[in-house]
Formats: sequence, structure tokens, C-alpha cells
Amino acid sequence: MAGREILLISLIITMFLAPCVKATSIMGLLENSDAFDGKIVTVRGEVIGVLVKGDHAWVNILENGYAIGVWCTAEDAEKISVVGDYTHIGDTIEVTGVFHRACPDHGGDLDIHAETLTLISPGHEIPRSLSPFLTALGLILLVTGILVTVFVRVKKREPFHPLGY
Amino acid sequence: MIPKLGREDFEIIGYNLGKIFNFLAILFSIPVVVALIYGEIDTIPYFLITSGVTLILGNVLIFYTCTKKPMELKHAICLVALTWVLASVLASTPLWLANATSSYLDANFESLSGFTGTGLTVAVDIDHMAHSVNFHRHLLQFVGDGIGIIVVSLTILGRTEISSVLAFRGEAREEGIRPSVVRTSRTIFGIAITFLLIGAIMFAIAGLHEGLDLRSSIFDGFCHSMTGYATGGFSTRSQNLLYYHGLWYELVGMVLAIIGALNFNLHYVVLRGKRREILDNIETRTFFFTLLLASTLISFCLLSSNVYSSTEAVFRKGVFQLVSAHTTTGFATVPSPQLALMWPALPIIIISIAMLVGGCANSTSGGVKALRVGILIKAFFLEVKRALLPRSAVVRGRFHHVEDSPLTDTVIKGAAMIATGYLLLFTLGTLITMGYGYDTEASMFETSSALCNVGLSSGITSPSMPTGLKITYMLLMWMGRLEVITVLVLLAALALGIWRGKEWREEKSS
Amino acid sequence: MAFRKTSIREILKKNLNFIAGILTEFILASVLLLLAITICFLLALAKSPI
Repeated sequence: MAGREILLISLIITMFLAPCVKATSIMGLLENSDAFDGKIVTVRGEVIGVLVKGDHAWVNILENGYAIGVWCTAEDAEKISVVGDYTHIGDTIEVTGVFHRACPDHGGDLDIHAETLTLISPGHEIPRSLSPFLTALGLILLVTGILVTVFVRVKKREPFHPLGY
Repeated sequence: MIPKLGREDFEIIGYNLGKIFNFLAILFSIPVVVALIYGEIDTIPYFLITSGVTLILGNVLIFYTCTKKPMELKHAICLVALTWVLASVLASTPLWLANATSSYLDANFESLSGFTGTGLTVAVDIDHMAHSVNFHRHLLQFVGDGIGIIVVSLTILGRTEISSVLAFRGEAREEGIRPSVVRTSRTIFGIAITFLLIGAIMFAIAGLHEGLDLRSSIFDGFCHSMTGYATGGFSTRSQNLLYYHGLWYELVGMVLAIIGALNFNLHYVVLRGKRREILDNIETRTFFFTLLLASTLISFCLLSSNVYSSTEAVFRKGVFQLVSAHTTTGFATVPSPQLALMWPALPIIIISIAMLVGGCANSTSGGVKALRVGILIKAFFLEVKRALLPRSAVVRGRFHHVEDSPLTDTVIKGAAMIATGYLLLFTLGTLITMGYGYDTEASMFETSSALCNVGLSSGITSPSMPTGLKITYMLLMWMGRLEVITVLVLLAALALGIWRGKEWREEKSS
Repeated sequence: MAFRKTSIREILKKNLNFIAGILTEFILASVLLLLAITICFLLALAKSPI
């Protein structure tokens, strides 16, 4: 009976506390690198780059303008399908691993050696559409520009060479 | 007495500015090709607008100021100082339209940082920036810093007495400023393109080796080669070169930066077959000596303070930042908060001094320049020698820079004046930054980074930095790039123009 | 530009000089970095307890 109660209580506590065990911010890691050195940290961020090197891979993750490199197995890196760029928001992943302020294995890089890497939410495409106003403005300005150029060249007998020299 | 600046002078400046605008209009339309390759159709209007506006402004200027008068030195100097400001104002348009920066001022900061080859960035979310907009940023550095500034220092600054050591020694030929600008730019363009292509291939191979996919490695390689040779320091990634986590990528960056920091006169004679020159030249000797001395010091500091403990770490972090600073490139492999908070003060100050020394004159790098430092060191020895010898003895100094030249008082005065100008601005900038409440070392670091067109940051430069500081750094970048004196000439000319212009108008009306 | 008669040997010599010059510069930069690595190595060696 007591065992079940303890289990229940601990379950309730975990349920309430789970959201409180928040991931460390990447900015926090960069600014307090000495304090976190060698400790196990959890970070969450958007994937902006995957560089596979043999059976391992570098995964660069971005959070709030700051980015950090994560050293993980190539197997873990395969979970990532979308990498962030102009037309994509990359997958959001959560990484738990050992933080190094100057990694002895990787030439003093500031990195995280991932123990677990989980996909939190998949990335998606960012719709980018051509603005009709800007397109019209651009075309008008360009055409005007070319007309003005031709006009000035004819009027002032300027050479047509782009440098004009 | 300084001669009056009249309407004619402004016409000559305006006419040539118009010509430069026409050239810029073509430059600003190049990223359209990149946009088409990457299917970023929505970014094309940004470049069309910029190109169109530049074309219209250029031709309106030409229309109203059309003149056949030849350009003189004073016009050329004013033109140069104006070009760097106006070109970056125009170039900021695509950055602003693409929301690459958080405000219009930031867009101007970014494009000025590009044109001057600084590399300090206030762009937001570089990792999600369009390829075309990113290419535009890198192209600015390549054209403004990789080609533009060399043309200017060889053909215009080299004609002033104060910077006479900069003159182009390729083929001694007296000619007007404009023809010499055209001829020299062709040579410089050829050499820059050669290094750009070699660098791009090396970067692309290194990128593939680090596990990057082919498309990105070619694009990143090309962009980094543009900014590496131009010793600019912009990167296609917010982490800068740390993104690649690879020794080879960093090595390519360092080699390219060192080559970019060499004097163009030296490139010219070496590529013509006089290869010994590279070891005899006073400037390369000074540059290599200070580089090795500073890397020894910085390695020692970092090792003894236990920041890094292995050879590889000290080289890839300490020496890399130092080479990047000394060549005034600004590629970084240490995140700026870590640089500011984890590194002890001494290496930060050593790097700041290395930035102030800078690369070679007539190169893409900034700072006081190794040639002037070399000349000043030589002058000090000469002075000591003079004091020890009897008064009747004649002491003459010589230095070897492409050819043997006597160490005249004019040369020494020029070097000393420019160095003093940089030091004054450095002090002023540091004080202003400290006035905004930043640390002493961080302020020194950031000020020399802006003044000497480096681009390494101790974390002060960000979109959220105070507006006053942004403007201060923009002024520092501009004055540092044009070796201080140029800007003073422009300001004096403008003052004279406004003040005397009134006189001129009165004369005309009477 | 006026057409000038240039022998193949001259063109070859000019290009060879160009390529050799570029190689010299790359080698020089690499040698400089090698020197820097050596310095780092020696310093790290001197610092590490034997």
C-alpha cells in the first residue's frame, strides 16, 4: 500500500516538476561556460546545419540568436530531416549531453557531446511570396533608370561603356 | 592659402560620382543571378529597386555636372571619401527591404561594415537569410575592400605626400588620375579574381571534407573566399567559421587572409617573377615578425591561464583569432560572449594591438599597416644611432620596399602622422565605448576592431547596442578605412566649399 | 590594343612566373602557419608536467 502511495506521490511531483526542468538557454551556456564545463546539460533549438563526419556528425543548433555545435552519432543525426535555411525552419531538437567549454577532442571547440537527441517538432517550409508592389516598383525604377541612362548618353554624348572611362 | 573650391570642383566630383554610381548599379544587380539559381524569386525586386535608384541618381548627377575637366588630387580624395559613404547608403537598401537588419540604421551599419571590409555584423538571423542577400553582403566586401581600397591607395593616396610610400611601383608612368585608376583596377581585378577562384576551390574542398553538402560547400566557399581574400570577415553563418568545426576550413581561411594582407606592389612583382622580394621587403618582414611574436605571446597567455591546454586548441582558437585580427579579417572560431568572458584580459589586449598594427599597406587590410610600423621602428634605431655618433657624421637610413629607398624625413613624418591619427581615434573610440558602460578591454577590442576594419567582436556590436555607439563605430570604420587624412580633407573641402561658396555667390551677384 | 608578336616561349615564361608566384605566396603563408603551430607545440610541451 505504502509503496503505491509513494509511487503516486512521486508521479504527481514529476508531473508538476517536469515542465520546470527547463532546457538551458544557449546564450546562458556561452556566457557561463566555466560554470557548465563538464556538466550534463539539456538544450533545445532549431537545427541549422548537419555535417556528417564518418560515424559521427556535427549538428549546429540555434536558439534565440545564439548557436552551438553538438557532436552526436551519425545515427542520431539521421533523425533530422529539415535543416533551417531561407525557405525552411529546421527541426527543433532537444539534446542532453556533456558540455565542454574547450573540448579536448575537438581542438578547443565549445560544444556539447550528445547522449540523447530527440526530435521535438519537425521543421516546415516558410512560404515566401513575391510582393507585387515591390516587383512593380523595381521594374518601374529599373526601366526608368535605363531610359535616363540612354537619354543622358545621347544628350551629353557620353560613352556607353559601363565604367564610362 | 588654400585655393577656393568653386562650382567647377563640385562638378568634377559630381560627374565622377555619377560614373561610379553607374558602375554600382551593375554591381547591385549581380545578386539577381544568385536569386535565380536558388529560386529565391521574392528577393529579386530588392535588387532591381536598388539598381534602378542607383542608375537614376547616377545619371541625374552626370546630367547636371557633365564636365570634361580632368580630375585633380583634391577632387579624387573628396570623391573617395564620399563614395564610401554614399555607396554604403545605396547598398543598404536590399538589406533593409529584405528585413535582414532590425532598422534602417542597422542596414547602413551592415553595408558600411561591408564596404569598408570590417565585418562587424548587426544582421539578424543570418542562418535564415536568403542566399542572394547574403551574396550581396559578401560581394560588397569583395568589391569595396578587395578591389576598391587597393585601387584608391595605389592611385590616389599614393599621390599625396603623406602616403607617398604607397604609390604604385609597377610601371613608373606619369599620367592623369582617371587613366591610372582604370589601368590599375584592371590589374588588381585580375589578381583578385585569381585568388578568389583558388580560395573558393580550396574552401569548397575543405567544406566537403568537413561533411558539408556540395551545394552549400560551393556557395559558402565562394562567399568565404570573397571575404577571406578581402580580409572582410562576413560569413554566411551566424557562428562564423565555428560552424564548420574543422581544422582544414580554418587553415584555408588563415592562408587566404595572410595572402590578402600582403601588399599589392609585392603581389605585382612576385607574380612577375621577382620572388625573392617577399623575403627582402621591410613590410613582409615586419608583418611576419609581429605575427609570430604576437602568436607566441598569445599562446603563452592562453596556456598559462589554463584557458586551453592542447597544442591544437591553442592554435585553432588563440592563433586563429590572432591571425584573423592581425590581417584584419575578422573570421572567428570563438563565440563572442566566450571571448569577452572567458579569455583573460591580456590576450584580448594583445589582439587589440595586433589589430592596430594591421596587415600590409596597399592591401585589403586595415590598421596602421606594417609598412609604417616597420619604417617607424627603423626611424627609432636611426635616431639612437644619430645620438651616439659624433655630430659631424652623416647618418642615412634606407629601407627596402620593392626597391631600395632612402628613409627620408617625409617618409617618417607620413608614417608617424597616420599612426598618430589611428591612435587618437582609438583612444577616442575606447573612451566613448567605455562611456556607454562597457569594460575597458572589451571597449579597446571593439574600438580597434571597428577602426582597423577587423570585424572580431567582444559582443558589444549587436542590433541592441546604443544608437550613439552605432554611429561612432560607423564613423570609425569610415575614417579607419580611408586612413583618417582622406576624411579630414573631405571635411575641410566641404567646409571651404560652404564658406567660400558664399563668397563666390556674392561675387557672382555683384 | 595593338597586336604584338610574342613568341610562345615568352608567353609560357610569363604564365610560369605567375603560377610560381601564386604558389610561392601560398607556400609562404603555410610555412608561417607551420611556424606558429611549432611555437604552440613547444609552448604546450614546456608547460605540460613531465
